Amino acid sequence: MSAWRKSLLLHGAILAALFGLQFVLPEYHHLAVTRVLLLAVFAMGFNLLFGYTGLLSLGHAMFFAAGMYGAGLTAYHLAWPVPAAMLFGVLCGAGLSLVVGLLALRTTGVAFMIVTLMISQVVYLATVYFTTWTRGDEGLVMPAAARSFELLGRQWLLTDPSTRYNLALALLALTMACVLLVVRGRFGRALIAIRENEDRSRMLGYNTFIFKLQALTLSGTLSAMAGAAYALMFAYIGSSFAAIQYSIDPLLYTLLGGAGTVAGPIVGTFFMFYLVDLASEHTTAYLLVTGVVLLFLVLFFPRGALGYVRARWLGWLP
Amino acid sequence: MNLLEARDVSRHFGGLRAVDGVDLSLEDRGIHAIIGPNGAGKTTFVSLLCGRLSCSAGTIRFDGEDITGLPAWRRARRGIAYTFQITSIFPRLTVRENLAIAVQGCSTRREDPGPRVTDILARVDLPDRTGEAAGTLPYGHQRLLEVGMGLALAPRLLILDEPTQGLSDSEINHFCGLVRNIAWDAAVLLIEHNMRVVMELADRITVLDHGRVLSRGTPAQIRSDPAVQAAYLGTGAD
Repeated sequence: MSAWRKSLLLHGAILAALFGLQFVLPEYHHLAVTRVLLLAVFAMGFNLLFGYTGLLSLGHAMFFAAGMYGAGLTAYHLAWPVPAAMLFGVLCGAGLSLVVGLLALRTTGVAFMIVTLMISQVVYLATVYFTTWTRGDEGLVMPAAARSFELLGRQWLLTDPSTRYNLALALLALTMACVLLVVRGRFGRALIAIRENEDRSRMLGYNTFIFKLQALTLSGTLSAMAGAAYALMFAYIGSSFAAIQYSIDPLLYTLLGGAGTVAGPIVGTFFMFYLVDLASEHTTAYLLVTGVVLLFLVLFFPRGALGYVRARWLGWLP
Repeated sequence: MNLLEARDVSRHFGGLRAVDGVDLSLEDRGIHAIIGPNGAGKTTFVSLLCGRLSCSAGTIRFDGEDITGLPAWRRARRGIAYTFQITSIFPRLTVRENLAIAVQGCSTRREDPGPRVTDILARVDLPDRTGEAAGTLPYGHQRLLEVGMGLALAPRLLILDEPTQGLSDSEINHFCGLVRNIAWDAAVLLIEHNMRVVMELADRITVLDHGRVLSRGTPAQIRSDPAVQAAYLGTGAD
């Protein structure tokens, strides 16, 4: 069987397992996994830039927030229907990532990290500053009108846990398909070439700036899609989602699951989310527990879970 | 018409004139060697030709067009391939993947690079070991891969920066055969310290010293030039 067939089967099986999971999960975990699915979309978007292109952004919270505020503000203040608000959120993320790319990609390495971090802080501070519209830290709760919508001749209730779960899963499937196609094709090969040796790629005829700009825009757009969906499904937007923690989280998820693997960020998000969740049940020092576990993993599994699996057993894993 | 015309090309780093008003013309076939002592500006000069560095002054014309201001990737697409002095491959990817990247770099068509990769492997005589990471290959094979990546661009000008450094004698012989073969239908610009290789391969030689052209001519002329002997070859050069 070809590597591509194998990987289609594997990723299809992951989606099927996630679909089946909703029928056995108790209520609390049903909701938790819905959140994990959206955060995994965010991490997969991040991984496209970090894992495949080799660019470490420390400001991805701004793209998540662009989606969240683009969707949430239009739904709240302008009473836009959910699909329009969602689409607008995604477009905000696309626009922002394109502009950030044009500025930040003039730098590389540490400077790129700092520039993305700084621009992201500007976005965070903007959400706090324009408090008349955003209500800053306190945030906004979506009105009842934004809790349901009509699409494809059907009424969709965002208050219904099962609807939310399956919408989140659909977005995850869309993202996974998108990343798989990118990684398999010419575009993905160019990104990996840039990650491995940018100078060499340039001397082979690649316009590396344009490729990096495309990768950053796609990555920011997927992250914004996660943010927009998060706002509309859980009916809340607030400044904390634009804070630095939301730039670090996708990095941790990606590192844990395996940077540069398609499904790695999903594994990492599950692991990290439940690690924090379990630790906080038993102790208030849950961050300490998480920190120790992270240290252990980074020291002994630097390639992350799926990176390890690929190196040991499944060389064909995309 | 010459394939490449560099006129009065200079590159200054602060007060240091690394390349200072160098002229060079290349025909569309054959092997032209650049020699000179360490620090003569050889690598800087060819970096100006391929676009890794930009000129402080002067013009470079390739195939009749001014390319002085073009970025490196555009020059690569026009057919100027550069192989690095310090081997620069994609060490964590397989040999085939390395070559596929190179083939794709200059092709706009959505074709499978596989057949061309196989051709190039045969041309540079690299064993077709598909699964191995290129970084684990013996050094000589990595150098061949580097040249293969240059060939994947279907270059009209191939710049080889010290290609035989670190190779064994038998590898050097094989390498010379390959370069001669390439020079049948492309121009080769060779920077080389190994005088045996230079004298054996080059049709013409340019000698650089302190960023300037000290001498130019056929191997026989260079060998007998007293200025070159004094500056570089020393007496009794082989």
